[in-house]
Amino acid sequence: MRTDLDQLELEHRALRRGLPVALAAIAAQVVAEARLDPLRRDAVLEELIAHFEDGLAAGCSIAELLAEFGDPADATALLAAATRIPRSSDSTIPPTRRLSMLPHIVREARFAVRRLTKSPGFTATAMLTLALGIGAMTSMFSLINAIVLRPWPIAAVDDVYDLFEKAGGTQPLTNPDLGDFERGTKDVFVAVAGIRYARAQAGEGASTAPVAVELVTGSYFEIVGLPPSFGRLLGPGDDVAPGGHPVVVLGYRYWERSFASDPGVIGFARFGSTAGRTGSWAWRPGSIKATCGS
Amino acid sequence: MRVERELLRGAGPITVLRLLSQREMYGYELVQALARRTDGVLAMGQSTLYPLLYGLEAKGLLRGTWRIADSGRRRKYYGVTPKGTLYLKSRQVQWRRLVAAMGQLGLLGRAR
Repeated sequence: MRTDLDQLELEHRALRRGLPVALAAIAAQVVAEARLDPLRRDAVLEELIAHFEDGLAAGCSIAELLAEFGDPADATALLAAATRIPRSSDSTIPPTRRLSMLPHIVREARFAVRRLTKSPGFTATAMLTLALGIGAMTSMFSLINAIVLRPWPIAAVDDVYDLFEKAGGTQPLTNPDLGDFERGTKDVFVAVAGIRYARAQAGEGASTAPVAVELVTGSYFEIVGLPPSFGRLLGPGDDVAPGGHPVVVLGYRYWERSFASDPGVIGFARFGSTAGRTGSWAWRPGSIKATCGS
Repeated sequence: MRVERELLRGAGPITVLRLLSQREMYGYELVQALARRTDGVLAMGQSTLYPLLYGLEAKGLLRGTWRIADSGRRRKYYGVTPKGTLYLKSRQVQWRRLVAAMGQLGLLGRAR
């Protein structure tokens, strides 16, 4: 049905160019049945019309031109096969035709919209299915990207082990257990560090905002093995007395976003108290050192 | 007299490339040149010629350019690309060997 409509449209186009009906019909039939994409279809039709025009101008009769044309079925099959070959540049389509394809594209779009509005139930179901599918795939990719594809920001990631205590389920080590483990495995591990994820309020004066933080022990950055962009990182010397060495290392993006990459932020922070899994930090001039790492 | 389609299938591309290597032509000119210069033996209709041109163009052996012909009408001129020239040369060698072998068998009228 669609091919018939295409053929009629192409035939009208050939007739408007002044071709006799028999020649217009054969050109339209071959091009329509080859099922070419719209741009190439128009270019091929144009060339066939041009050929017939030249033949007529040279004094050939319609019957002679039809006889010279060859078998339309062969032409259709050969055209379809030839235009399936991938091409590096498409000079088949004249530049002016490319621009004039816009009305065709608009017409195809309007046809599609009309068909879709005739069956709203189907359209809604299809759109919902697509939306859910795309959403699910996007979420899945984000997860896989975060867990699998994006490399950990650790220098020697193959030498790092994530340790848990397994007693009635997987549990993180407590701080005393971590100390025992570190002392007992000095000949096995170069360094052992503890990490605790927490949320805190950070800001200056009354304008504070929640931030995700990691409370870490002194050897943490020795294991991560990345250099700081500014200032210094935490070291074992910052981990002697509980609560006695409140040093902060800012994430690079947080430093860019919240401090406009100001290197003057070093030495500008005061570390507040932490309680449970939450804490409160206040940024203000003070004597406590802050460092910024990448 | 035209040759059978199966024979023409092998000869068609090299024939078209050879003619277009001498000067650029559009479809109708090419049909006329093929018929005239081969006494009709290698004449091709549109049903064969245009798919052949599109195939060669897609393979990068020909390059088509739309421009205004002497008649004042817009026509697509085909010319051989450097890749097409190399292809033509390699095929010419093979055709010479084929023709020589057929001659040795007496198929070209020269019995050994």
